[in-house]
Amino acid sequence: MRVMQKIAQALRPDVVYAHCDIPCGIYDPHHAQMAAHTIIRMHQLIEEAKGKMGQSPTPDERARFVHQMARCTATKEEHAELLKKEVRILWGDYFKPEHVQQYPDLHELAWKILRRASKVRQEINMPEAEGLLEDVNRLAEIFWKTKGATPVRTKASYPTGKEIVVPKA
Amino acid sequence: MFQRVVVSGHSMEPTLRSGQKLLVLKNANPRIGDIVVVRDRTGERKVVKRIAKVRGGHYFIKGDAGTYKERAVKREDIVGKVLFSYSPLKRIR
Repeated sequence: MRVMQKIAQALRPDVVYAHCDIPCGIYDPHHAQMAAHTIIRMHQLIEEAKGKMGQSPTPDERARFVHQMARCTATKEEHAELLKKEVRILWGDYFKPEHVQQYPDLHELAWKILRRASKVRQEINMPEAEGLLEDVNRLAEIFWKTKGATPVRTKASYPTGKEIVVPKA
Repeated sequence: MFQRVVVSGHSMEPTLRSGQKLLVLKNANPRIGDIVVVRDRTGERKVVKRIAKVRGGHYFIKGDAGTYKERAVKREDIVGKVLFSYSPLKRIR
């Protein structure tokens, strides 16, 4: 059995790392939070566009509406995928077993974020978009605590009017 | 002559995915556009990246994901060139 284990070990391929540098140790939830804010902003702009459309739009008004909807939807898609990518990197590459022990809801939170990010791509759903931001902010709080920093919630400087989590200066 | 490696990480997406197994030709002459395996600065670990340019005898490598900046490596740090993926079986461009 030990011989088989040694043979298996000898035949195992070497690991090559496709990370930015090995290991760079540079992780930050900020991009995921920005993406969550962008998704909310797209929802807001979609509602604004709908509000501006009259009962009987002219062809020009309809064209402008469709154009705006297409652009907002594309941006929402792009940032939902970006958010998922950033969270996957934090979840898979940064967080360690000791973090999971300290924050037992970590795996479920990351999984919930990924599923919610898919949902906001599929729907125009402001409550889900706001819930997604709340989950990402919660992940950011955990992240900064694992770094020994104190996370604080503050109003973001974005037109969403929502909160963001940053490390206390 | 040849080495088998397995990818860990995301910086080479969409070309390479984490878990993908590659066949590497050791000591091959690297060219711009080749995907290569390189020893990192510590010499303890290996990274897989693409050669973006060659300047002043240095090879500048970067990830296909575009998220990370280039860095320069010397020829002797390049272990080999990726020939193809054997799991899943596919050509690598």
